[in-house]
Amino acid sequence: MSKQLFLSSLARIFVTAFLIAFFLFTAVNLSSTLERYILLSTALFSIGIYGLTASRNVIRVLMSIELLLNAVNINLVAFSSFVDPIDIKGQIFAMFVMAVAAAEAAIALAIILAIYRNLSSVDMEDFSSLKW
Amino acid sequence: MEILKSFINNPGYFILSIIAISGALGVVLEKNIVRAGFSLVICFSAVAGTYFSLNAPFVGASQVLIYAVGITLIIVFALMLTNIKNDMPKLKGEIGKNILSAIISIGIFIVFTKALTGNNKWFEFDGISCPRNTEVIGLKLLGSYVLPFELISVLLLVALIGAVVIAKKDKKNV
Repeated sequence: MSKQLFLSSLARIFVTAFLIAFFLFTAVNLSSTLERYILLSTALFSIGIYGLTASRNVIRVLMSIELLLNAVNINLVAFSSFVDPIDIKGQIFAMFVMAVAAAEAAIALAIILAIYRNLSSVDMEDFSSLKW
Repeated sequence: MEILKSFINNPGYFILSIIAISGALGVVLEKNIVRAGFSLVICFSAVAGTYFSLNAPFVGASQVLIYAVGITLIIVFALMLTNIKNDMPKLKGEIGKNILSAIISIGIFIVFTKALTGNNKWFEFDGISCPRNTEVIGLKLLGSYVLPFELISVLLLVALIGAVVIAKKDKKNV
């Protein structure tokens, strides 16, 4: 059991190193700074999509949604400070996104607690009451 | 050589993006859910540093206050209230599902990167930054964006009351 645990953590470290190397290789080939920030946003968005589709714990799904919103915010702020630096519309949009994300997190916590009280589980596979 | 040159030109971007991506991968790949929550804090702090490096100090400070403290606190509360120490049992087709998700997300990354590296011209002002950043945001929020600002306050109130109503214990059924 412990050997299996060691192997799985080693595999995760290798996957992380490989993905960071892939990201750095792509970032170095880009010419402008704006494109590099958009690349960071794209990487966070892809990781969030992976967490959203692959994970079974519903709280991890909530964390992945926060990652997606963060990626969108990086995109907005990067465009606002490189393309529109005089009246910074993108930063105001990022503030609105943050406020909506806070409301969404509170509602999601309440829904998770209500479901957990009924089913005593946080597994996405058990949440099938909306299936038809 | 090329890597070293671009690293020296803009070291803050590379350091912050490596920290942010490691934190995000920790959120997704880590088995222990509490450790995943704490790597979310690392990721959000690196993103706040990215905002500071993009000449957006007000958005960066809000990121630290709202995301790195507030939302993470909510998630840690969710972790503590739903007490799940034991691992979930492995399902039959789970590895196939994970591989399919990895293919989808890497495909999204490659498609966006191809769109980024094409022959596109951004309207880029280099070296110009808004000197009174926070003042401009405040004037705009209470000027031309005053209606969405007030709507956001109503939305937050509705979300608070709705969260209390949903999470409250139903006394009749107990």
